[in-house]
Amino acid sequence: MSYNVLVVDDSRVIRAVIKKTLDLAGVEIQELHEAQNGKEALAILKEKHVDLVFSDIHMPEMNGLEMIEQMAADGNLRNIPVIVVSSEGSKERVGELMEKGARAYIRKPFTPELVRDLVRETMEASDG
Amino acid sequence: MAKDPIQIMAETLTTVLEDMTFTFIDSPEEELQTDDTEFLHATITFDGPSSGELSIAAPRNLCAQLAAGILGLEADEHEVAENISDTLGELLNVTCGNFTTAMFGDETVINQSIPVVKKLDKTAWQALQVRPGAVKFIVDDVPLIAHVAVEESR
Repeated sequence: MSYNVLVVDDSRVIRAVIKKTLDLAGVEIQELHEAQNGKEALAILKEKHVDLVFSDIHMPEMNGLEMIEQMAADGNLRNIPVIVVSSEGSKERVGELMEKGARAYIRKPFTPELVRDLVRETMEASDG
Repeated sequence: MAKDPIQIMAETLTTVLEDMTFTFIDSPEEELQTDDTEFLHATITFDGPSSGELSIAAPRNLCAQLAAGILGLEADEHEVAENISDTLGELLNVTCGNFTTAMFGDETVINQSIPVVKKLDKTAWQALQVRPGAVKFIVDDVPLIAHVAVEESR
């Protein structure tokens, strides 16, 4: 199974880390799109077919939380799973993200194994 | 304070460097030696029930090597030069998130600043080594200094 993935982060370095980890995890990628913030991500989501989104929280112009809220409010986007990628570990912050519509949370740094399992679980739950 | 911030900083940064840059890390006791003359110093602060500051400093060549590794490019490529500061800042950003969770637990909300990266000369680099709260590392045979300062809970 191969996926169209969108990676949203204002740091090119972190986008590269996510891409490399997906590769090492053996996740098959059909097309990989990149956005520097939530605003750019929403524009891509409206134009392209995306199966899965990896998104940072803190970004300029539109942060990850606002992006998730806008996706949840859009009938065409609300079913696209978003995995939030952050170094924050507070239960309160993670709880808030899941409440707003994030499907999963992964904390940096992450291993390819963790990413592989999370992608599988998230996509299986999404298909179900 | 029950937990040792220096120990937690050492463990956290080691994990972050190994997992994000796939480098080999050692923690030497002796003074760090290098022929490098250009260094970068990234600093981040955190605030919540406790506050403090973390920093990492390394020769620019090591920062370029780390950036190249992450981006999958050669260290002398133009795109690497553009991302050297971002690399050091992001490594510190991730370290700070994991450090604060390890120090204060996941029930505590801690706010982090945006990392600030500045150039450092050799004299300032050498002074960092003897600063209280400093932790020394060797990353793929190149020295790196981390520093941690935590204020007591309010």
